[in-house]
Amino acid sequence: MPFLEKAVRELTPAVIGIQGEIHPHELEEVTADVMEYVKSGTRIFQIAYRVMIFLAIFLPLFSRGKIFFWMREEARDKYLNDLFRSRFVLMRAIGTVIGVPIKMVYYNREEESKQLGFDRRAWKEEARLRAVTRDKSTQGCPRIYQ
Amino acid sequence: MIFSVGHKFDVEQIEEVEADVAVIGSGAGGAVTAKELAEIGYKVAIIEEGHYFKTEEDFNLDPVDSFAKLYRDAGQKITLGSPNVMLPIGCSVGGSSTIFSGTCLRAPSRVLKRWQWQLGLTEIDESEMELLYKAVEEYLFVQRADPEVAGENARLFLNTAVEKMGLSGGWLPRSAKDCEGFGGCVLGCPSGAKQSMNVSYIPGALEAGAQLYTRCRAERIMVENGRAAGVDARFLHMAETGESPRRLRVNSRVVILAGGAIYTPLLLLNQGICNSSGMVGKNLHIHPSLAVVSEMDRYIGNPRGIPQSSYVDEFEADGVMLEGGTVAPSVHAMALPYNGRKHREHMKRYPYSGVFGGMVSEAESEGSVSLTPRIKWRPLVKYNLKGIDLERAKLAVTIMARIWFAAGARKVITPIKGYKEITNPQDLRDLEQARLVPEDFTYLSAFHPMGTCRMGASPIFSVVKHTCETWDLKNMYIVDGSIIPTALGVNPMLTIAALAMRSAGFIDERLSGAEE
Repeated sequence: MPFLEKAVRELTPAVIGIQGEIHPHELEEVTADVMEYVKSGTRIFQIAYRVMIFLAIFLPLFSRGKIFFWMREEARDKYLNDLFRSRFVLMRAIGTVIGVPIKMVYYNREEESKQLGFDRRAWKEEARLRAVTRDKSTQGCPRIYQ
Repeated sequence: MIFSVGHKFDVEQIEEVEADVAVIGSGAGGAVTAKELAEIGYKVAIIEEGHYFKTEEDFNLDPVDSFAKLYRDAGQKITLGSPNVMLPIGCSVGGSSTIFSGTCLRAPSRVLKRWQWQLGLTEIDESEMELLYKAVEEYLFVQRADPEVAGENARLFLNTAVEKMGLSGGWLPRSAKDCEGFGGCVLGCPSGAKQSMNVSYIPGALEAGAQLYTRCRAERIMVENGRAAGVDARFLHMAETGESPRRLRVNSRVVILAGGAIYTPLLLLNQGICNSSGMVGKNLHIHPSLAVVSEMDRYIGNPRGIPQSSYVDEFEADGVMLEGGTVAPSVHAMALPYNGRKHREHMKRYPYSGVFGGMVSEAESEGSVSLTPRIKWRPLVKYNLKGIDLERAKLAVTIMARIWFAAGARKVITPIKGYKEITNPQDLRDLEQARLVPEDFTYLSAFHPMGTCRMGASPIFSVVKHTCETWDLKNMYIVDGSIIPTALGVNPMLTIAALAMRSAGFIDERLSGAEE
């Protein structure tokens, strides 16, 4: 498994706060979606994300004597929150950036967002029934080229 | 059709089009001028880098999908500087209007006066702007947000601020028709109620005969005898970001550049034109924005409702404007300053969380847009929040925290280091007295980039005249946020559209020969 994928797979339950609670199959899905999300960004973002992930995994070797992969659940949770509390901008940036795609993708899953009250499928259906149709005039317009 | 061997040995196909006016960009500036000029009878060709997404099929309230489709770089654009600021920019037909909140506020009188006194823009007077605003507002169905569909978050915050605390505020004017508050303005309106350009002015322009070229990137302004004479553009592959060998050449009498305050200067800098003042890409103004989240005992039910429907302008004169801003859970999750179990705990309480946004509406900090070495179409956006703007940002946070506490919050979460969680009045007082540095702000986003090709009365310090024509190149007009010379104080969409409408009048005079 490539390093980035392995790292995202290990970081996801710790970042979301569901260590020991997520089904391996679900974790595979979230990891794949995170990878897809990162790929949709610019090359600069992809490089920056890789660097941040690399640092997130290996920095605790200096501060706690072991890399992230070897840490226990409690220690992982504490470490990730300590990043936010750090007085160093880079540390805080790591804490933020590694979490952005993971949190975004995890809470974008339909079952999660629905549970939190955002039933986007039902709302979209409702919106379709209440459509405001000023844009109908462009349907089949012969003057749109692509 | 002309065939030539070019880029990477692909056989380039060049499609040539004759038009009176070539418009680059289909946002609030480009769409309005395109419609106005097409309705007069001019042949208008609109060139847009993004896709033309449709309400029913494409605007599905899915944040990840919408960010990838509707935003530049999937919404991951950030500024370089201290602190780093997220800078969401739209990239589809309708430009940033497709993802804007719908808020349509007129420029404050004092800002227009400042333009007159500081930049010599005496021709832009309030009475004329009022007529233009009225015309745009009418076309976009601008009306105050309906409190019934605004959502509990907005009602609670506004009622507390105005009725309980005696602050000045109200319901925002929005360009929406029969809005039912589906909570997804920034994801593309799922019902078509929000009157962004893709459902209003662009269909109007097409109906009047304009041609629209989508997934097509303008790469060069053609110049002949000191005049703009057309646009060279390249089609992009439909599903990817890569270039295709298909090119488009629009030969036109007038070129209107409306690519927004980041990409308009990028195009000009790439080509090295219109910059005798040295001001292209300089003078970048944004509205740095922060959100304060509250944990309540009562059910709030975000994001159902109108994401941005209410405002508190009590501190407008101090350069702070509060405008509501709810988001879907996945976006909310991203902005919280926690990881792990703490993050999970808060997310479980999302339905009981309130959120409101505040912006430094007249920020004095300035940034810049420049070319990224060796990467042609990537702008380098630099911005540092400094001086009094730090105090303004802090003021925005503390006012919002006070209002949430008055509304019954148990805890508020702020984007300020050391004050992430505030649970009692003493913490809040400590924050009010704290001296902050830019690095203390952990999460800032910025909307409304402006000023990078500013308008002014002299070619020494500005890029365009009051007519929006560039000082350096005849028949070349810029109509987007980049011409707004200072921080506007309010959301700029309406002002961009009004200035575009004004500019269309001058372009008509030029094309019809009435000017000479």
